[in-house]
Amino acid sequence: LDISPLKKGRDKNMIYRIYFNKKTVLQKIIDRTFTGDKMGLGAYLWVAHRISGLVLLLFFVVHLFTLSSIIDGETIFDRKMKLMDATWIKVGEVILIAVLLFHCFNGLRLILMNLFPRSNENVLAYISIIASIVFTLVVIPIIF
Amino acid sequence: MNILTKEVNVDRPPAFRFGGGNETLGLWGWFGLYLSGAVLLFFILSHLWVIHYSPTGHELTWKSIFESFKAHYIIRIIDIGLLVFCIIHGLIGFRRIILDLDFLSKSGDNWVIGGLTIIGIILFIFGLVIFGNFISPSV
Repeated sequence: LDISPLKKGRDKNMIYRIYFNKKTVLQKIIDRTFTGDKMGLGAYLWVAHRISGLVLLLFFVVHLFTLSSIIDGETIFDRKMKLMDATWIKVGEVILIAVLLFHCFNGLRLILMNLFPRSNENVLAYISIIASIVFTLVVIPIIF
Repeated sequence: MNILTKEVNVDRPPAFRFGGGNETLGLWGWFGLYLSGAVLLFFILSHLWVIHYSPTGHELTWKSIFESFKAHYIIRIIDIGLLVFCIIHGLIGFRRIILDLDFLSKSGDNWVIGGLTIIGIILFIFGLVIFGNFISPSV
């Protein structure tokens, strides 16, 4: 795949996509790690969106199993829920909310990119990152 | 075909190339992922509001959850909607990640779809059983 004409272009993410589409994700990450080539912001978000999605899917399953203690009765359920007051669980909740907010805002960015193909990808990317950080900071006092 | 129009952006193109094959999710997969994501956002925000701000929320005990469900049917709809859309969005997203790895044949993709559908149905039934126990406890 000859991507040389595209190297003159301004959009590094575009080069990344054309180059990377021909390789598996693992190859992409390994290649970029060892060659030291910089990935565009969109490329990092592309990877981060998938990792955050997997984390949230895992949480969803774990959450269902935690709630399933209701099947053993009210007392056991309440005892298990009492464990959720531990500080390390609260810290975990903040991390989870941060992951969730990132996934939400980045997902909104992807929807906007689909609806408005000429939108500025980098501006949307920065807005989604900043919004994730701001809303996570807002949520911290609510959790604690 | 110009390579730029074919695969210029892995996250942008489905609206413009709904075609099948292992590279894309297809029309339904795309709608399933993006539309369910938007709907899921509504359900998650509602769920968080119910937990933290509604009059029946705050405390995480069986009694408070029971009273919360009993208080209004909308709260029950929110939680069942959350369950359904979490499963749909999560599993279609998982398939998307598998497709990104680019090692599946067409038949392999069909097996993945079948497997994820079964997992989704099991998770849904599991969720309904838990939900049912909050409304009318078995123990």
